[in-house]
Amino acid sequence: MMSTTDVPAVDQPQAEPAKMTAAELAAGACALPAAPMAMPSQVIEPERGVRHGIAALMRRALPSQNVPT
Amino acid sequence: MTGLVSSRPVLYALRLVMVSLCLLAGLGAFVLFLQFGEADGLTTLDVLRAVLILISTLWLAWGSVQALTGLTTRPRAPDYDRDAPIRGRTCILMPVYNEDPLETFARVAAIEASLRATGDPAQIHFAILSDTRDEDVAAREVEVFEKLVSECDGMGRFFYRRREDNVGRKAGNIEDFIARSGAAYDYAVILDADSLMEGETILQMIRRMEAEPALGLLQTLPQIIRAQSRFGRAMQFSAAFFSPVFARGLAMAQGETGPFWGHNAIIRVRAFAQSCGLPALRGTPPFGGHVLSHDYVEAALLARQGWVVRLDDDLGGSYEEGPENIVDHAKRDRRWCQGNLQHMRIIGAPGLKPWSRFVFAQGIMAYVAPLFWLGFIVASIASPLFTPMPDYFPTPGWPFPHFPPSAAAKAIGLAIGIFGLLLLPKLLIALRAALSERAEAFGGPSRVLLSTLAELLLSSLTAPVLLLFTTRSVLQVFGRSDGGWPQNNRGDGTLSWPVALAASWWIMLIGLAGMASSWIFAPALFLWLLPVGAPMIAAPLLLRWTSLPSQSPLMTVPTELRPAPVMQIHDRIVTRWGMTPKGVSASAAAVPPMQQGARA
Repeated sequence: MMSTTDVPAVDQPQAEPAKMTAAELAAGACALPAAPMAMPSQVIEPERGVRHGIAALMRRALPSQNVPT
Repeated sequence: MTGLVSSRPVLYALRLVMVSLCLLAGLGAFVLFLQFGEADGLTTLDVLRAVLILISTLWLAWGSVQALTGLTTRPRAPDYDRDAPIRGRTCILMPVYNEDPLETFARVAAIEASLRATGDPAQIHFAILSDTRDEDVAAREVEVFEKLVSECDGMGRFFYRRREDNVGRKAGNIEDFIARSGAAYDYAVILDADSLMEGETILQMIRRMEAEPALGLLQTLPQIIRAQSRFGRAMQFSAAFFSPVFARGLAMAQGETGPFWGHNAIIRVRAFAQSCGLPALRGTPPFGGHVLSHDYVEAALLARQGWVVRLDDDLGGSYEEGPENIVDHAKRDRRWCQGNLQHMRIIGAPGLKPWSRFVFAQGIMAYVAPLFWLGFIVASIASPLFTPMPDYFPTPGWPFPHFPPSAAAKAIGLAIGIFGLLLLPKLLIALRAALSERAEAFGGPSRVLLSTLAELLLSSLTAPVLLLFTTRSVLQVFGRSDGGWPQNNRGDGTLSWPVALAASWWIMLIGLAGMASSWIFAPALFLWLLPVGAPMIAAPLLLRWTSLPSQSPLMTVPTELRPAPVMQIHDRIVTRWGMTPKGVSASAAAVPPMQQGARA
């Protein structure tokens, strides 16, 4: 049998279910599986620029010439 | 060798023919224009105009040649066992950035349901990779994610992660996933926030990856769906009707150095991790900093490491949404423009395949070409100021005037050639569809032909306006202005008059100034320039009118007549989650999904 103390008072504010934050969610059961994989940084720019590239090509084409870099 | 072209010599021959045809068209236009200019005395400005028309025609011809190449074949699936057991583990990645979580996660739920309907033999996982910066949106993401997990019984299969910073934007987001969890998966399907894919399509993509260990990335050809406005439906029709043919031509030329468009594609995680770590470029944006159009670069880097990158255009069941109005289109284009121009820094990267460099050049040209057209128009208006007056009496004492030979035939020939390059591919695509069963999916042969004419008319009207938006974007990038990372608009897209006017008043002014200049300095060109100038002057009207909802039977696409199964599932989920499906009235949304299939 329910006692009077078990009945919440009408004006008593109901506790809202605790809302999860993004950080809690990402750290809990819905966290990504921990299985790291290396992703090395790639070389995606010409190392020394177009001007130097042209100079390198000229050096290759004209090996006897002293082409400044 | 895999893909649409069977052997390497055939591929090289095809490329040679395609490039030769473009050069032929470009040189033809160049010579014809020089002859035209010669009639009243060749000036420096004439030579400049001839060079501008050469470059513009080359670019135009490249598009046409792609379509003509695409018309020579039909989609064909590679050889593999369609029912092979799936061994590898796959995760579907949905990167989000300040998107509406209800709409976005409903797409994830629809894909999951579509997969479940297949029996999900691959036991696929889903990861929401949030880069959201808005705290309210992030809180909402968590709420909706919990709903998603509970509805899909997704505990242990659905994951949510929000980054603390946005380093590297979308590419950095994917990279972060691989760094944390890459070793747990063999394949990853990369989506956009507006992507929708059939479960069966995803399974076939995985099987193709398993059948070809050298395949590093497989791209599908996403169809635009759920467009509602006049502009959006025109784009949707164009993407469904013309793009597959253009894309097939491009894919045939690309061979194993195929495209990556950033989403609706599957990657081999190991290949991607090994090849696609993107460092920030030296210097500051727009040319330095993080790589914006990362997808092109990732495709080139995979190919550099020897992985096959391929577009399989026979795979259906791949969808995305598009901008609903010209302003949203221009905003997205601004971002792509900066990204593609940034490739000028990467085009010379060591070890890239020549075709990858060509693809970069093509992407850059897509944004620079309008400047050549604009330069040609401006030079043409200015030309009469620099042309010497004709000498009708060159022989002293001879009483009869000598009239310079008319070059009108050459000018008309040139115009016909250029319009032919513009219109012919689309007309041929329409004709072939009308004569085959393909037209039925678009409402029948007559509707296909009328829709093509309507699309040509609308794209001709919007082209001058888009030309100026693109020109502004290019000038902003060259002026070192960084466009940032704006959030995508995915609403219904109707533009109010004030918004349309605010976005296009400068286009109207340029149109007025151009036509007035032509009237004063080059009256002979006035009528020729009217198709370009009039849409510019009417830009606010055009922006507003094209953004309004369209109920026209023209430009109907197959997914409007028969929504794809995953779209029907998506509609049902959206309705259950308290939203109205896009393009459906509230009362129609209450209709059970299988009946909604016939709503069109």
